[in-house]
Amino acid sequence: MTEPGILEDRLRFDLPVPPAAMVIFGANGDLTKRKLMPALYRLAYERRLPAGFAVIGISRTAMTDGQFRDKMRENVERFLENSPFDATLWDDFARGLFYVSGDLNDAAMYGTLRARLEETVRARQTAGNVLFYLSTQPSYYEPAAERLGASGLNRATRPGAWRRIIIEKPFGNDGASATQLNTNLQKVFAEESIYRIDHYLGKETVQNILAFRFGNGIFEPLWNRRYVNHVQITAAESIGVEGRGGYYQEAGALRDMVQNHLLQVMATVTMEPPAAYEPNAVRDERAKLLRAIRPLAPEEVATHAVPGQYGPARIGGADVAGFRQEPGVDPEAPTHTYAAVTLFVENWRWAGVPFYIRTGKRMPKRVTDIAIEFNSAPLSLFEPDHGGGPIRWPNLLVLRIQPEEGISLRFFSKLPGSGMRVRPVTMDFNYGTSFGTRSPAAYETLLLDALQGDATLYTRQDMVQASWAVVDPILQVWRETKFDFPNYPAGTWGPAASERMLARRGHVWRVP
Amino acid sequence: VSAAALDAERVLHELSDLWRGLGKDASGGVLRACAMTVLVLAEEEDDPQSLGATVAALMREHPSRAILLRRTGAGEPEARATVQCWLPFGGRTQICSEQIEILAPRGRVGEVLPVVFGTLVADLPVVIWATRLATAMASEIKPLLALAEKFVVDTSGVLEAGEALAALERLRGARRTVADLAWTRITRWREVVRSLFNTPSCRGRSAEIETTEVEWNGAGVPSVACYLAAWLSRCCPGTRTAFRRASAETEAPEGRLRSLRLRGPDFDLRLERPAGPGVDIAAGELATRAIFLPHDPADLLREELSILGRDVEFEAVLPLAKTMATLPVEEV
Repeated sequence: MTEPGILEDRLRFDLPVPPAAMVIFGANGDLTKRKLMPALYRLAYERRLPAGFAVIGISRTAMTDGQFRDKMRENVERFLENSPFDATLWDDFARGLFYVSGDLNDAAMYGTLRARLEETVRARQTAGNVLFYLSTQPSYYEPAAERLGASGLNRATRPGAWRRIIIEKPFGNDGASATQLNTNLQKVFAEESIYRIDHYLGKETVQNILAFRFGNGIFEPLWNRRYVNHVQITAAESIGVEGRGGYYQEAGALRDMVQNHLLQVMATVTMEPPAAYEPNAVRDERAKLLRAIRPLAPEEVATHAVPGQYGPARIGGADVAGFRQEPGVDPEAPTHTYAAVTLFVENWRWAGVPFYIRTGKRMPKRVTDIAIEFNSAPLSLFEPDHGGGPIRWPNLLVLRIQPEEGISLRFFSKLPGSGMRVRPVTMDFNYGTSFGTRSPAAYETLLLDALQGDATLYTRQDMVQASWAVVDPILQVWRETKFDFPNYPAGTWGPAASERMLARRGHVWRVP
Repeated sequence: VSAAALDAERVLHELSDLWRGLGKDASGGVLRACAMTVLVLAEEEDDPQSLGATVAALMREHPSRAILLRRTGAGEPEARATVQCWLPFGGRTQICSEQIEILAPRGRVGEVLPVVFGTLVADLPVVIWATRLATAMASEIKPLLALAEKFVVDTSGVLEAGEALAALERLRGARRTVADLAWTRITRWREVVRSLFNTPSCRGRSAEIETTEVEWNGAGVPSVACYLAAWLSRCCPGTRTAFRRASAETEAPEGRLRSLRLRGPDFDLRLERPAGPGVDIAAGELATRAIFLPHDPADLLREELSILGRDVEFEAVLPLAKTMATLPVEEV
């Protein structure tokens, strides 16, 4: 038992998490309340956190440890999803919660933080390992990192201990600012200690794409330009900007969704098989794929990318405001709340296959999925049940990310009775119901990975740069073009121009 | 529910009819999911309701065809098929799984074996769970052993573990693994010990351990105590094992583990389980608590159904545990 490995039972135990403390900057913010603290509590409930795990929350609001614990309890009880709240467990978990009030730009605050961290090493046996989480406005990333460096908190003081930092998107506003942010972060933390979180990659169903592709032998031979006709990636939200109008009117749909989440999802669907399921092997393949996406030339943007903005509508007997009528939004805002793009991957596997990506707010429903449409059978022997004409329903494989996670395959089946008439049917795998157990929330998976030092599901700087290289040319043209917004009413699937974009290649958007 | 004559094809036909009926009735459709056959060997004395609830609880994580073979005291062999459905919260599609119940008087199980053979799901693993060790060891059950990828029993209820563990060893086969729910019951204890040896106060200090003390509640020597001691002795060779038996508490069942203590001249790690769901942990300066919610058979079986291949750790611990059962016990 000199090595902990001898106590392992890989079949039954989860991977061990080393002793650690987590420091949350922005501990009074929305993300901490809604996601981080419920995820940490749930990990404690699952006995996944190390004994003595500690959290130090930091924000400007003056609070004692006790008040912070009470506040976090209230949030966990309110925002915990699909999980019971256990008061006894909370009491034990809360003993590891501490609070430091102060300004991120104040050097003295980092002295207090250092003292608190030393205290946790002694009292909670955190071994000097610290995970910093920047859950703040992006403008604080660089000053906070700089102060951590200046105070020496970025360096572990004990042998074998580590310091890591998690930052939330957006990673810059464009390629240039992303480079600058990265340069400044890397002055303080080594690249392998920087964890850029993209919560989409933590979703169980996004990880299941890798299991589906590389755990089975029958799909990968079809996963190329020879069999795939085109791919549609949809991320629709039924809600509007929900109080984030100020932020959103600066960002827009392309920055908010496509540059990060959807290009990462596309890379997961299209990357080459990694040599091993190891952080850098997987991320190398994702990065290679992102670099293989051909950036649009300025003259192509008009035909390959469509922006949209929702206008007011009456839905279900209620008036729904347009984007420009939302609180905090400029009544003349040129922001795109919808974006659709056609992209091509320039490699041997995917050359010539269009990838259509669309995302938008105030669409008919909340849904994220990836639909892979296969080429039709070369010769149609059978009569479709809708009468004459060619069969219109090629095989379709849909990978559903949310809300009903799963996979479905559409294929033809013979209609019962005489004659040989066929009808499309779907074969469904429903992730949540086939496995009746609860899937971990994305933040649970990602926090645990960061504590274990597994960056597989985190974004690397070269991936960030490659994504901006795809998005920047489109943003550049859109910035210089005046659009006639709003161009789609709330509650619809987006502007007509988006349909025309697909029609140029004889395709139509699915109704997800 | 429908009765069927003792013929596998008739039972399967009944099952198909049930599915067809469900498909017609359910507006949102039904999802028929199946990952394995779970063959439950039970006795007439086993509470059919709690057995049914356990099987149903398994289906959500391990959708299977359940075949419940119950040995009765008298009567004629009979079989019936049922389909259990539930609508997941917020879902539109009902999830259904199938159950075939076969009743056979003791001594006449051989007459229903062809029905069992004929109703196993093709090309998928077969897991057998015997609710009692005596059922698993019955000679008329033996022909079923060859079908199983995994044979699950529970020795927790046996007062003296020695014989039970020896019987378990005899159930192992070249293609068949055995599992004991008593071993599954100590996963959480083992996991906590593992995690404590990752903390600074314990890391790398296993060589200092001289004695492992395991204390339980009630009479006899329970297999859970033997397994825990055997596992620790395997991980930490050369340590002395001390068994302690506490007088029975009214609120705690017989054989329930009460504490584990790993001691050396300058080392002391204690896990103590008072009456509630918590375990108090003391390791050096660290004092904390872990929550062990009560296990029900479905929780234990879920864990075992997740492991269909060889369980190397259990295979290594089983013979050691058998020897532990002969150690002297101190009454406290």
